[in-house]
Amino acid sequence: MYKKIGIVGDKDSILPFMALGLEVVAVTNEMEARIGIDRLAKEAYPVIFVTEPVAQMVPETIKRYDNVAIPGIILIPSNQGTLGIGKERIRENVEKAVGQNIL
Amino acid sequence: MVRLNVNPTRMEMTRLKKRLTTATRGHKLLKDKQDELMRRFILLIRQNDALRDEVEKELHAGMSDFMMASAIVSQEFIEEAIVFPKEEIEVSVAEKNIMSVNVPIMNMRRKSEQAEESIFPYGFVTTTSEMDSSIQKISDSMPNLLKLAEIEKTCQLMADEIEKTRRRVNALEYMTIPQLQETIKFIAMKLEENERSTITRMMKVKDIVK
Amino acid sequence: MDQLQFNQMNARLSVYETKLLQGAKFEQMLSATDAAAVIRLLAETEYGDVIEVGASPYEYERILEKELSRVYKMAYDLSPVKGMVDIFALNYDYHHLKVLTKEKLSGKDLNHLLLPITRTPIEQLRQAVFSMEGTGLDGTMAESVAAVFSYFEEYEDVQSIDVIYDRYYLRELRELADTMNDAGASHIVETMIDTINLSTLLRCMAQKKSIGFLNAVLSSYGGIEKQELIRLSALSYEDIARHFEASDYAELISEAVKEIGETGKMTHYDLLKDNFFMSYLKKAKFDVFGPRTLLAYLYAKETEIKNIRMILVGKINHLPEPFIRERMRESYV
Repeated sequence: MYKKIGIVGDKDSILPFMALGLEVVAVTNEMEARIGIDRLAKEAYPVIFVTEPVAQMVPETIKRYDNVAIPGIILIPSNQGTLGIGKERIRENVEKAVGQNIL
Repeated sequence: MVRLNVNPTRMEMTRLKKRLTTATRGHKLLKDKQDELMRRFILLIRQNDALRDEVEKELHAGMSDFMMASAIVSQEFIEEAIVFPKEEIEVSVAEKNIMSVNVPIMNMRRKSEQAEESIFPYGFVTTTSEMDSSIQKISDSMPNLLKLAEIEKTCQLMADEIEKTRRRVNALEYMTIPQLQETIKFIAMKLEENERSTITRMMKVKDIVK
Repeated sequence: MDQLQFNQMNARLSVYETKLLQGAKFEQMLSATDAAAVIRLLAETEYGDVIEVGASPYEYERILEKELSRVYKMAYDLSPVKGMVDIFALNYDYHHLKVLTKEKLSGKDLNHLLLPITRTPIEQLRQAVFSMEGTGLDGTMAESVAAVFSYFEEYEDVQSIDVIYDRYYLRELRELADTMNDAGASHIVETMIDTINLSTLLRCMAQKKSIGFLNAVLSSYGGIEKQELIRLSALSYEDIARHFEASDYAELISEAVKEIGETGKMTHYDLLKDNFFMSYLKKAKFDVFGPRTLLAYLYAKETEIKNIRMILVGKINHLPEPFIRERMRESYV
């Protein structure tokens, strides 16, 4: 079954995705971020992109969906560039699996 | 090593030996699974890492372009132009089982491809060609972005499973199996001792009877 | 049109023109350390009246809107012929029609997309859209609403909403200019439509659009014939440039074609188009009579706001200065 994709972040960064028909949820603070992500997850969006600065506000919420197959919460940079949090998550996975950084 | 608290009987030893065989076989299987998961994980995580670099660069460039393109007119004009989109990008998720880990397989569907239409939902008077190209740029990075979503989620789930498997392998290797071996050895010793004392006793009885 | 009736307005405008931001001010803003510093610099200018103490740079859109709405109000008060201001304000009416129409068709709340520049009151436009027939509006605008809804009902093509409104907008623009009965105003509008048409043509070629599509999006109210533009779409970019060699648009088109050849894009064209129009209007600077100064002033103000917005957006998002600078439009002074 095909479903829409969700995206959560500051408005400036995620607005262009509106043109592509993604569900754009613009947030400005922690509470809006948490409510936004949880709503999209509850409505069974298979993929939710979250900008790094927003993910930084709500680490617990992001973690909650880490070990379920759906939704996949994927961090993306904001228009200010990357904060390296997405990369950091890859390193965490490597250390969890391999025990040392092999990248 | 602590041995198990069991009665040193022959029956118990048979039971423990059976458990040891199972545990040894389980250990080998799990170890194989862990190795295979690890092998795949390492391949995939390298891909994940490289893809993320690429996608982050693409997205940031697209976002910056769009931002500057949209700075030419007021936000209200920009949002009006795209608020009612023509394009629909959707995904369907199937699950695939890799070494007992359920990982997502994502398929993307685009309305523009089916209808053979452009993705731009707006007119030409209040918008610019720079807007077209920045939206196009982001649109072009969507397949990569979804590929990233698929791989990254897969890696995450695999990392969890590898960690879980390793814990079980370690438990078998450093706890269960040595414990069983120790206990079996202990029972064997006990039984031997019993046997020796029985023989001694028998010999003594024999002497008395004589 | 009686050119003398604008004398008083022109005298006043020559004072307002001196308040337009100068190149040095823009240089200061470009080299400012952050957006807050840009706002502080702005507060020292005629924008000071619309900047509240302690205003956050993130509210830049509100500040710029307030200034723009002040300018339009002032222009309506000043101009003896309202239609002259309408030439620039009409754009906002059509913007509102698009927003209200999309609101109705999508069911989303889009109130935040309405602007404080209202040639026609929002409520009147809302009524017209709500009726889906343009009830309560006159002529071309009423027709536009009816056309959009009847087309959408049949084809459900989202893009057609903007495309149809745009077409009626350019038509009404031409009608407005014609009723002014002023050669200067007519020529300005014709040039506006031409540059829009040319940009549309090139963008459509880049998007590989059909002749049918071009026919729908090009306006027949410019100086260059629509059929001529459609014929051009079959040519190579170089041939198009050659076609305009002897026209006013020679440089504009040849630059655009050069860029397409080099980068495959026409990002720079948007800038060139604005600059072309600005240098065209600059010729009105020394007009003592007639309404062209007003049009030039309004365009100068729109451009100034555009440039300020770009600097602010650039600063807020920490974009490098050259990245902002290369997008800055030529200003009037």
